[in-house]
Amino acid sequence: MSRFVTVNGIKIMKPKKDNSILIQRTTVAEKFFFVAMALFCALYAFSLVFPVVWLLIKSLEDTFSYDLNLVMYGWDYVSPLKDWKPGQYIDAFNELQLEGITFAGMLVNSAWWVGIGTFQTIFWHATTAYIISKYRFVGRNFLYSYVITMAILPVYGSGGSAYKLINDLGLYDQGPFYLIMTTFGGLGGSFLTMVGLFSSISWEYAEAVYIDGGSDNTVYFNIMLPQAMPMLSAFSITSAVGLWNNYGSPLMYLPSTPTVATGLYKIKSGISYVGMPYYFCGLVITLIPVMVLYGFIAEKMMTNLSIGGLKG
Amino acid sequence: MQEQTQLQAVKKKSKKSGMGSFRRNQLIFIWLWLVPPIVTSLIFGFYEKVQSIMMAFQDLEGNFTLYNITYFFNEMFSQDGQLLIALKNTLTHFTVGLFIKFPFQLLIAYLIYKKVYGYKIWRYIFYFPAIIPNIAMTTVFIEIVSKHGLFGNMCQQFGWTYPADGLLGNPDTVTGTVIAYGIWDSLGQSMLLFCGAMTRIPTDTLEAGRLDGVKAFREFFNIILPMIWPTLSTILLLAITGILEASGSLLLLVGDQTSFSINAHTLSFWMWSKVYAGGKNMAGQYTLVCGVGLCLTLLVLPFIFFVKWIFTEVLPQVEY
Repeated sequence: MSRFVTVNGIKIMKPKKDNSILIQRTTVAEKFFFVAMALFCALYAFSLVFPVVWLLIKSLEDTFSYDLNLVMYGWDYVSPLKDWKPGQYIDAFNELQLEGITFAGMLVNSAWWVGIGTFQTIFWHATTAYIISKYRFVGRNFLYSYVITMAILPVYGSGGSAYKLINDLGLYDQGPFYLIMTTFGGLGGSFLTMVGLFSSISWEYAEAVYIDGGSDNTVYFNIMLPQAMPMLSAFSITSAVGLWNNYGSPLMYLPSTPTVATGLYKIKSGISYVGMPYYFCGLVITLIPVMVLYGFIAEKMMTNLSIGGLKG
Repeated sequence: MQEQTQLQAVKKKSKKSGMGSFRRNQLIFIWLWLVPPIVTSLIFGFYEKVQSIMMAFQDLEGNFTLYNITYFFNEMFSQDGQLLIALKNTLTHFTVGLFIKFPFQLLIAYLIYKKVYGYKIWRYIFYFPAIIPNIAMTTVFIEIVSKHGLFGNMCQQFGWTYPADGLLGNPDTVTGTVIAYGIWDSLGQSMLLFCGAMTRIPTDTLEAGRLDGVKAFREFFNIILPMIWPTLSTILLLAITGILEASGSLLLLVGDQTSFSINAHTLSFWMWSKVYAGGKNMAGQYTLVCGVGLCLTLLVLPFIFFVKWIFTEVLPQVEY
């Protein structure tokens, strides 16, 4: 590729794409340090990609070869790529069962767990954050202080209390109903970040709606929410990924409706026997939705994100 | 200007009706949408914490008892006490998190910020552990460090003695292996937050430093670190105040079924396993967990307030 471009008939050297202070290395020691760090990053990145590739390869191995390769490495190793079995992915849906619940059933459970959980979490956090950031009313400052206090004040061992509370309220093992009732809250997690988000949206839009005879509901649903939608979409995808990977809460509170993550954990723990390659197929299937979602938001996530200081 | 007049006219009109309907409708809107989250937060936040304190002094039938509190002190002052082992492991996890994970996370973020060669690819890959299900990462890790796994075979090829049950199956190596997994899994964890804070630093400041002969080392410690202090201090504060919650992916790596796994338990895992009780509903010792939790809270609360005071009132704040 030529290092020169022609501008107005004059041949000049192409400017470097990025000439910023950030990539300047002035001393030899600095250059050596950043080269060494680049190698470190490459090694670490390889170690993170390796599990995905390893899983893909192992999922194509049949059960016999897997058992054989447990004791054989080096020249005697039987490569799964020589006799790969992609059909195992179909068989995995039959093989991966937990107490009568099929893998497809677990996928359905994961779908409503993620769908309901994401909607409830994002909607209620956004609504409370919007109201706290835009309106002045009695109790507003108290609510804000309450959120901060609850965030930093630990009460260890409250998991026992939470467990009893869920049982006392009749929510234990109640499937979607448990999730709906426990996710109405909007005063935790990403509440503080969303307050910052809605604070940055101009109130003039609301005043224009009032002049046209609109209500506060019109302002919120027709103006403010769409304005915040790009960031809320990123939050939604992050929340969805977290819920998809969450195995602890369904394990504790929803034993009859295991999600994919919970089901695979229990299968691995030996409750149900299954050949490991089928198990790897199940793991690869759980990877696909989150990697697809990550593909959509990766670029947006790599933009600025700062939570600032915490005082008071 | 015309719009301001129109808006004031709208508000005046509603006031003239004698009911202040504009403000009334606004308050209805506010409280209609705030009631569900407030009620949920009061039940699953405030009431849950209050009930936890009350249950600390109850047995499973709800009768008053001090057994949960005395159990805590007996376990803490007994050499082989489960809680003492769990506390030691928790403090080990915390120390590793603070002095190894945290600096490396900062280093990773700094390298991405300084656009190290290949940064455009690394920053996507370093976020993988947050995206890929933990069950998948831990499964691969377990396979690799087992006796017949890749790492196990490599060590045996070199003639090193390898535990028969793998690194996670040996009581002497299990905690170290869990910690090693935790370090590997978390280096890119706060990358977005740190990078975002570093990106806010005006490049003019760095250029001025360069003109004055500031090298990369001094630039990092004397310019970058102080200027990202708000974000850094918030993350440090949250990490330090969560001192007793420091743990690893114990359930996935070790499980709670084997007898030796107690050597690897942390406080949060101990509490979880006491409540979960193998999945049998209401069979766990949840009041015991509340009692132990209360004692730990009272133990660590002064430390948390002290740390918060140091971070917010003593250490200088940076704004730009």
